[in-house]
Formats: sequence, structure tokens, C-alpha cells
Amino acid sequence: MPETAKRNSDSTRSDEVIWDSAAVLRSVDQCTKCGICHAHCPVAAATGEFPGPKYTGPQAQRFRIIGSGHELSPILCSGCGVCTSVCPNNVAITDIITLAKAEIGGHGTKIGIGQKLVNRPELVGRLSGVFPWLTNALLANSLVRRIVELVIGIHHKAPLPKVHGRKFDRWFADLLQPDGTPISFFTGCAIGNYDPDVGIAMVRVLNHLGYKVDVPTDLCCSLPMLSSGETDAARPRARALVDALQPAATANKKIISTSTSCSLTLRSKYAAFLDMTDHVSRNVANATVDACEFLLHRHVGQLRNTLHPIPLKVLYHGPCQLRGHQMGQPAVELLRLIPGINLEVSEADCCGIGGTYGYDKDKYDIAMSVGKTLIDQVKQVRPDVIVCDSETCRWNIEAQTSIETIHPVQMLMRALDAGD
Amino acid sequence: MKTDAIIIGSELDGLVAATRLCERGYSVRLFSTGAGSLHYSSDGIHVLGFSQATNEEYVSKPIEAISQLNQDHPYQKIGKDQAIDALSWYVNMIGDVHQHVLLNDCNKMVISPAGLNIPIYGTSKHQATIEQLDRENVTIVVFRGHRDFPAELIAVELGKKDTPSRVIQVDAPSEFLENAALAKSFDAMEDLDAYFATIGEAIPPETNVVLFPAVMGFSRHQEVLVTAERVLGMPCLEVPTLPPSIPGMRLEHAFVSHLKNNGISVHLGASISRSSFDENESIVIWDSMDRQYEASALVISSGGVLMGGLNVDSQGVIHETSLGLDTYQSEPLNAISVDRSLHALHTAGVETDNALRPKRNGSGTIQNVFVTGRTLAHWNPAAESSSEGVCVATGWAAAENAHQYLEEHNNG
Ligand code: SF4
Ligand code: SF4
Repeated sequence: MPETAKRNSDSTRSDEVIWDSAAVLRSVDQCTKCGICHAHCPVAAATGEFPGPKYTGPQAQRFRIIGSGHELSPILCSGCGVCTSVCPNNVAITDIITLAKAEIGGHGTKIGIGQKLVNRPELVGRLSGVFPWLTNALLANSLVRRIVELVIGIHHKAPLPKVHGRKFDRWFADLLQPDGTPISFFTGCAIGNYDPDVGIAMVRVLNHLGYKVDVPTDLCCSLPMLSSGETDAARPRARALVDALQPAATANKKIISTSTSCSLTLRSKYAAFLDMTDHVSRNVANATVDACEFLLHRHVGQLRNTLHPIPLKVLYHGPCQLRGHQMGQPAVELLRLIPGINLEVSEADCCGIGGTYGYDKDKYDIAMSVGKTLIDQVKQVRPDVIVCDSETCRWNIEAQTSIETIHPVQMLMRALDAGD
Repeated sequence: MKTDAIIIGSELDGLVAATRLCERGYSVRLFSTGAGSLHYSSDGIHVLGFSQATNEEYVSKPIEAISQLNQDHPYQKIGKDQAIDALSWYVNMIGDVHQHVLLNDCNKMVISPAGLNIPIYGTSKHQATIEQLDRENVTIVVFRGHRDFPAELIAVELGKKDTPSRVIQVDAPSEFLENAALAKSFDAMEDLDAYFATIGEAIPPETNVVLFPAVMGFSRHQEVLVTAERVLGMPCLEVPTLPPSIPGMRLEHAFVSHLKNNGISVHLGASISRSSFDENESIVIWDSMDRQYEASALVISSGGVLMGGLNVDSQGVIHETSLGLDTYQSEPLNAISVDRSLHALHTAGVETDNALRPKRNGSGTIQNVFVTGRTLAHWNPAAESSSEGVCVATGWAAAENAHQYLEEHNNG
């Protein structure tokens, strides 16, 4: 039964429901077999190899419980979360399937070298970031990409990001900041290695709003490991990250993330996939907040008064991980604050890439087929800029469409700058 | 985060209420645990098909029959005039954002997925009615291997009306044979003309109406059916399949796009974990990730037991799941009823006043909360065949009542 709180009650929750792995698996019993999830699954629509969420999720889970051996269908799920978001009965379908992936992959012991490599974006970033120009030149070479596909199974056309060395770190080290409310920025692996400009825009927007930003760590949240089933390797890394973020949470600072997937991992996936429900992990989870969510809930008034017109045609695509946050599309509400913007919202459920799903040589074609709705809409709308909150989606969309694809905070930064 | 109104649930009634409030210029946020029951519904409007209040086998003039219903039936609460206004607003609005729906003078009969005849008042353009098939020669097309379309039952039913019909099997346009996959394959089909020309070869010459399962495209169905009619040279109509219903999904998709394009935030997959409200004050709700949202008015459109808006505890007591509102039930719900369509579960739900305002914990009526559709008590969508009509009428009335409340309370 819902609790009805007293007015002005303390904002901390005593009744918090935590979706640990047991709760995820228990939700199987809420399935009424309505079939709605199946009708919406983009992968089931793209390939007959995949029996779809109703089967692979709650239905097959019943057989997994009695140890009926493993079938491989969970591997084909892209983890897009569409099924969970449309299920009227709160079945945690995507998480059930992800837990099954970990079982099939022996928690990492049976996972291939290519997947293991893409599961370690920060390691790849560091190695290749020593000579970024060399890495970028090599990866632009189609022969090299064919060899990469042959040896480690990353499809030769998969949209690999450009490596940027440590551009963000260098910029941030020299930054003079206002002496305002302290706030932490969790950069994840992408900002430091691949997406420095998103980080720079985020810090500048926060500075503009009067915050003093610190960057407590550049550890990776390990979602690629978790969503492909490499849980054994993810566990110590998750613990190290939570420990690194704990001082910020204890000091009552918000921990901002520009990556919808990193923030979702911290907020709910460590509990669902690793059973990290201890006090420290929950504190860090509750302090973590998505960048757009934070700006929308705290700073609409301030932004509305300081954003300058940008008369561009913009297409916004909400990434899959946003669905898991269950908060609608805060970026749309923020972008609508920009005067003169001509905003269209994507009709597509998924761009296809599914985090690192579409990198796999065996899944690339499925990914491209799933992404077709979005690409068709781009062709029809012909935007000047595409906006999307998630890094792998941005790389994919930019590679498919050759249209500049940026994070919502970059768009906000441009609107703040436009008057100068 | 404050908006004028929050809607909980993406049932037809919630979508109607959100659209109407948006049209009136209010800021609205819509929360829904999952997709709504339009997945079980057609795109026509069943207003009132059967009623013990009239002495007919089925209701022929549903609008007139409204006044004979029980006093606490949702139609009676909002009144016949408001029900008429709601329906005419709906057909105009849906004609603009999706497709034309025709309100008939009296009920017609549509064929249900189980092959039964069900009275319907508003029909979409390509929805097959028994009247249209009268004296025609009908061919029913089945995509080979598509199991969700009981064509033989439909043929039997047509036979009872002396309408000659036959079932033919044709190759499916997609590798997969579920409703959604078939519909998507029509959306993606490059040469519709060629496809229907091939089907034409299999259709016996004496045919003058073709029935297809209602899977003829998801976003492009009108173009698909118009093309079929041109190539085959005769009316091509759709008959509902077993769920999930593609016409219902088209309708839901059209609504959600329309709402999003008009700046309404749709929080799909979200559920309400707790709430705080006092009479006449603004309402605060928290979602399952503890985000806080505030509104001046709230519409509860979260559906019945099937969609999670109501649930029944082990004592057979019915509860409203979002706010814990007071409910009505005629008897404990674990009792086994002889006639399943009259089981007390069907009429159990939230008790409201005539303005659709509920109570909680037996205290006074809450002035700024409005309850709609299947969450309401005192009607029986299955036995009455009145689902879409009550949802449209109560969703619209809730929006109008919320508007009145907001006008009185927002000027300060
Ligand atoms: S997460 Fe996406 S791909 Fe996986 S079953 Fe659900 S809808 Fe399908
Ligand atoms: S949508 Fe939910 S209840 Fe329906 S079949 Fe899928 S898991 Fe089961």
C-alpha cells in the first residue's frame, strides 16, 4: 500500500524499496502474460533468433530457477529497457535477462576477449590515449578494423569514439571557479578519455549557476561488464568506485553525472546485479543524480532567465538508459527553455547500439536494423544538430548520419554563450 | 517541480484528460507504470452495448439509454449532456491527431476477436461492421501461420446472418507471425501494389468485400488499406485480432506523440511510491526513485485490477494503489459468482461524488483529485460493452472539473 506522508516530513525515506537481485527475480510472479512487452521489443522485431522479453524474461526464468540448463537467448537482448518501461505489472524484465546473462557467461569466465576489451573503456582509453593521434589514425584504417574484427570480434563498422588523451583533466586543473555551493561531478570513463567537451560544458554550466565543482574520481562505473555478465570483475571495481564517491555523499553533496547509464548504474544497478545494498552504497546511490534531472528540478527559473536564443532545428533522441530512470525526458523540458529553438523529439525507441551491444560482429546487423526508425526520422527532419544524453548513442548517431550530435548540457552551454 | 495537473495512468481516460487539460493551456505531467489497456482495445468507441435497464437484447440507442442506468453509474454521475459533449470533442480531436471516427445514429455490430457480435457506437473508417457485410460476398484473408486471428469463427458468425464467406490463406509479409511484427512489416513494405496484386490472384471473383486481420501497418495503416482497396477494387476492412491489439497500439502511440509534441512530459515506467495532500491544497507525489513532483490537481486514471490501478488483498478487499482512496465493493471479492460477468470484482472500484472526486480514510471529499475510467466503481465494462465510452466521458469530465477547480484556485 502506498504510504501517505505527512506534510513537511523529513525527506529521507524509511520505507525505501530496494530492487536487489532477489526482488528483481521475484517480480517474475507479477507477470500476467499480457504480451505487451513482446509487442514493443525492438530486437524481437529485428531477428527471429530472439524469442523476446516475455519468453526470455519471466517465462524462461521459471525454468532457470529449477536449473533446467542454459539457453542462449538472453545474450541477444540489447538491454534497451523498452520492455520494462511498458510492462503494466512492474516486472523487472530487463534486469531478469541481465542476471541470466551473467549466469550464462559464468560471471565472466566464459566471456570473449573482444567483449572483455569493450568492457574496459577506461583501460582502452588510457592505453590508446598515450598517443591519441596514432590510435585515431590506426582506427580510421579499414584494414586495421578488419583485423580487429577478425581477432577480437568488434565489427569493423562499429562506431568507435575518437581518443582525446586527457584534455578534460588539463582544462579542469587550470580552472578558476566561483566559491559557491560545492558539488561533485562524476566523469566516468567517457569524459576523461573520449568526450572532454561534454565535461567542460557541464562544469561551465554548473559554474554559471554558482557551484564549485570537484571531480572525486575518474573510475569507470563498469556497466558494460554488468550488462554483458562479467560480474566477478565488476564487483571489486564497483566497490572501489562507491568508496571513492562516499566522502562526497557523506558531505551531503550531490554527485552529478552527464552519462544516463553511469548514473543509473550507481543508483539502481549495483543493487540489482551485485546486491550492493549496504548503507554506503545506498548513500552514494541517493546522492547521484543525472545532469538534466538536476538542472530541471533545481534551476529552471535561473536557466530560463539566462539562456539566449538559438534559432536551430534540433532533434532530441532520448537514450535507452533514460527509461530506467523513469523520469520522462528532462532534457526535452530543458531544451524547450531555449528561445527560438525548433525542437523535434525522436519517435524511435532505440538507436540500436545498446551500449556496447552493437560493437559485437554478430550483433552489428541487428543493431543497425533496430536503429533504422531513428535514421529515417533524421533523414526526414534534417536537423542542424542532434542532441542525446548518452555517449555510445551519440557516437553511433553521428557515425550513421554525419550530423553533429551533442549532449543536452552542451546545447545549454551554447545558449548561455550565445549572448556574448 | 510544480505543474497545474498530474495524471496517473495512460489508460484511454488518462490520455483524454491530459489532452483536454493541455488544450486548455495547463501544464501537465503524466505518470504511468507501463503501457495502458489500449493494448486490449480497438480504435472504435463502445459506448453502451448491453444493459439490464433496457428491455432489448442489446442497446440500440446508447446515448438515450444512459438516463436509465443506475444513479451511481459513471455516465449518470457526469450526466448525459456532458457525455455527449465529451464524445463529440473526442471524435473531433482524434480525427485531427490520428484518424477519423464516425459516431453512428445507433449501435452497429462489430466482430470481436472471438468471432462474437458486439454493439459499437463509434467506428473507425476501416473497422468492419456486420451491417457493412450484409448481402455482400466476403473473403477473409489469413496470413499463413498467424495464430491470433480466428478467421473460422468469424466465417461461422457471418454464416448465421446468411452472409456468404470463405477463408483464404496467403503468404505473410514477414518472417515472424505476431501482430506487431506483421504490422511493422507493412510499415516497411516497399511495393504495396505488387503485394496486394498477388493477394488479388487468390481472391475468388465473386468476392466484393475483403476482411483482413487488424495488423495492416502500425504507422501507415490508412495508406496500406487504401492501396489494398485500389488494387483489389473493393472495400478492404480490418477485424480485431487477439491482443495485443494493433489498432489500440496505434491509438496509444498517436496520443503519446501528440502529448509529447505539445510539451507534456510522459513518465513511462514510473510508479508512485508515496504522496502527500490535504484538502484544497497542492498535491505532492514521489516516484519510485524518490523524485518529488507537485501539482494543483490530480487525475487518477490508473486502470482496474488488470492494469494495476486497483488490487485485491487476501481478505477479498479492493484497494486503490496510488493514493489509497476509499473504494466500493458489493461483497468480498473472494466469493465465487455463478455468472462470471456479474462477479463483484467488475463493479468494484473507487467511490466518488458526481464531480468524480474521491474520499480517503472516510474523511471529507478531496476537492482537487478526480478519478476516471476503470478505477471507478459502479460500472461493468465487460458486461456492458461500454469501455471506451466511459473512459472518454469520465476522462473529459475530470479534465473539465479540474479546469474549474484550477480557475477558482489559481488566481492567487
Ligand atoms: S531490454 Fe530491449 S532488447 Fe532486451 S528484451 Fe527488453 S525490449 Fe527486448
Ligand atoms: S508486459 Fe509484463 S506482464 Fe505483460 S507479458 Fe511482459 S512481463 Fe508479463
